[in-house]
Amino acid sequence: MTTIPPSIPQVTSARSRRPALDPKKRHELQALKPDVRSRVLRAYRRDAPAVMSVIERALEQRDTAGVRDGAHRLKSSSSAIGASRLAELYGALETAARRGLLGDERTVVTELRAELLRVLTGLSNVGDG
Amino acid sequence: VDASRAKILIVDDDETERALAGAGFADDGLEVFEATNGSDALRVFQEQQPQIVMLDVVMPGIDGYATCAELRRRAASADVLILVATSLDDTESIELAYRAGATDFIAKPIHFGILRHRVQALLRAQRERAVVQQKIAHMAFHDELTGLPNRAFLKEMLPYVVEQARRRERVGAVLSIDLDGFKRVNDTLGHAAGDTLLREVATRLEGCLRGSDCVTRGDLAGSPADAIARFGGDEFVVVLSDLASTDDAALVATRIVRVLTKPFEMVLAEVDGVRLGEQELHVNCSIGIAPFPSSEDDSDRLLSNADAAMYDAKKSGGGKFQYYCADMSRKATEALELETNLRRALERGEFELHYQPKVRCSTGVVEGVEALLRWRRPGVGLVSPLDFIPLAEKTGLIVPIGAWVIRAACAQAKAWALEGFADLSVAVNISTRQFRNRELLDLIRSSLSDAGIAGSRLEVEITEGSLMEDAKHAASVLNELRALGVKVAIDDFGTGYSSLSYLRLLPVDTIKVDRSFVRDVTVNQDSAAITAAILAMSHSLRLESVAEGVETQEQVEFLMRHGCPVVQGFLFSKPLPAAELVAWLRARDVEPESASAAVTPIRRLPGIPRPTVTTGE
Repeated sequence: MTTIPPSIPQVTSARSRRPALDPKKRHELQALKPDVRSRVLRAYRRDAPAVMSVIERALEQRDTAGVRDGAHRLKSSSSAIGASRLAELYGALETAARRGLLGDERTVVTELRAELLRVLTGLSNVGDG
Repeated sequence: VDASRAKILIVDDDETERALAGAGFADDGLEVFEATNGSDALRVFQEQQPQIVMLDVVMPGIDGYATCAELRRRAASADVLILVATSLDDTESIELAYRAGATDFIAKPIHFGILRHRVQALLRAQRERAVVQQKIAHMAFHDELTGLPNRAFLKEMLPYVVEQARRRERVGAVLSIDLDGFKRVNDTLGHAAGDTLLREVATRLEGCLRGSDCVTRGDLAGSPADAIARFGGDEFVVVLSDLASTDDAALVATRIVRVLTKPFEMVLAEVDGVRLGEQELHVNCSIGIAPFPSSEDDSDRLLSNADAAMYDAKKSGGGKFQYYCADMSRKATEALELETNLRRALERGEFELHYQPKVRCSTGVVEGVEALLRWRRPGVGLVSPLDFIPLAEKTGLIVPIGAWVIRAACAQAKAWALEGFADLSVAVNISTRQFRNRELLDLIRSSLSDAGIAGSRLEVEITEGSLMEDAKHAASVLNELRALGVKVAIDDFGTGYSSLSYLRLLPVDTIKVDRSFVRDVTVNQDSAAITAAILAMSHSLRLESVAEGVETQEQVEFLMRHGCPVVQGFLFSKPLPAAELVAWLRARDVEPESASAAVTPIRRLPGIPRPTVTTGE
């Protein structure tokens, strides 16, 4: 079962046709030893929403360094589990923060939340958790 | 747990990535450790000493670069691999990573499949490097023949052992071990036999040290243990690191002497399993012991002190051990200083010849002189040959010095001829080493021709030992000398082991009766009997006899009574510089009666007839 923190509302995004997880990566994750797989998934499910909250707070406070580091971290881990669309979004946010060009945070946050939810949902089909 | 399993430390604040990276490495057989931040990484690194570290750049707290630099600083081995994970497009962070000491960077997002192969390749290269380095270190610190540590190893280790002993309030000792008679084995049985012997000696030495747990160590780490090293040749050094008292070193030394003096069974060849030329070898050893801690804890000092004690033990006959005492070091320093100065003495012209007259009993005429080497050492004065000839023999300096003597003596004979002493012959002493030297004859020929004197003006004095060492060589040299007209005298006769009948076979002209017999002829019946016998046999072989070291009138009377034709000694004159000798000769010629009694003893014994020689033949 997937537990979603209350800060991220359940939104279904139909905009992206790309699957939330790359099929190849999904396959790799499924091929992992069960204990490793469950650890990877557990860590991502725990950390990604938590770091997302940190990013949101940083955005509100115009804390560019906080946005940059949080986005960097989720860019990496999202990429590592095959969530390439989400990784791209975090990458764009990281670059914007790095350049001091943060725009309307509400749009960004909405988009990130939607994609993150898609990914977390996708992960629940990968295996046990 | 396989001790050779490589360890990898993954440093990342994100568990998802640590877990994914670690899973792949674990599948490849690596032992995986994780750290979530910089300070955590340093702690795990210290504990586990991994071969490879994978480091994320962006972390809260100490960032990846600072962590990398600190790891590099702390790494016991410069060979630890540090991979820094950074975005491929971020050239600045790549540069920073290298500057912090990273081995390489990993592009993010990480392609774990590629990373695993890359890590395997890096580890393989690291292992190969380690093997090569180990081999080099082993070669640099070990003796190839015996596999024992070598001098370099011991020198590296000794300060540490001494310091440990001092801290733990224990004592230790350096033992310098030298085999007596090893050179003979090498010379007579060949180097292969010598090598076999050295290996066997190494094995026996290892057996001598206390428990099996404290034999030689191959590394410098850990607690000190006893060590054996081969310093080259037949020189071994043992370090006893933990003794209750310095007296205990003697127990080990005794054991070593006992073990090494047991015969060695040597097989010179083996054909189809059949041992040929089986031989029992006997060697002896001398051991010098330098205890520590002492006031002279410096490693070089300890080793040279042990050496000095070893030489002392060797001098007293071998098969012994000897503790170092301060006096030895003083003696060794003096010997070294003497050797240095002796080397320079030739080029600085510090040698001179003094001449002692030989007087014919029947006429009182001085027919020849013996040239005796003196060293006028600046700041010291005249040094006795007894103090430097043995050293010159040992160092081989005797050969160039001896050559100088021959040339100088020939030149002097020419000078005397010009001063009116055309018949005066000069005798020079030839050392064993010089006699063995193939260039001796050429040297004598050129010295005679350069001086422009006849061979008959020169006489060479050779000890019995030189002649007996290689009789065939001796016979050929003596024949050549005779062809040149150079006379040959056997020096110190009676002290060696040659028989007169053997001398009959060699072209010898003169026998010089050793001073030790002459000194005692009037007080010791044995000396008197031996002297009389030598004189009688010499006469029967038609050889000239000269008695050396004549100091009293009574000795002259005895010698004349037994038919000694020529005498030499302080009774007539001490050895004189060339100019003084001429003055002395002139004084005799002009006013023989008024000269001192000691100078002309012959003329005061006119009534003594030529003795009749009675021989046993």
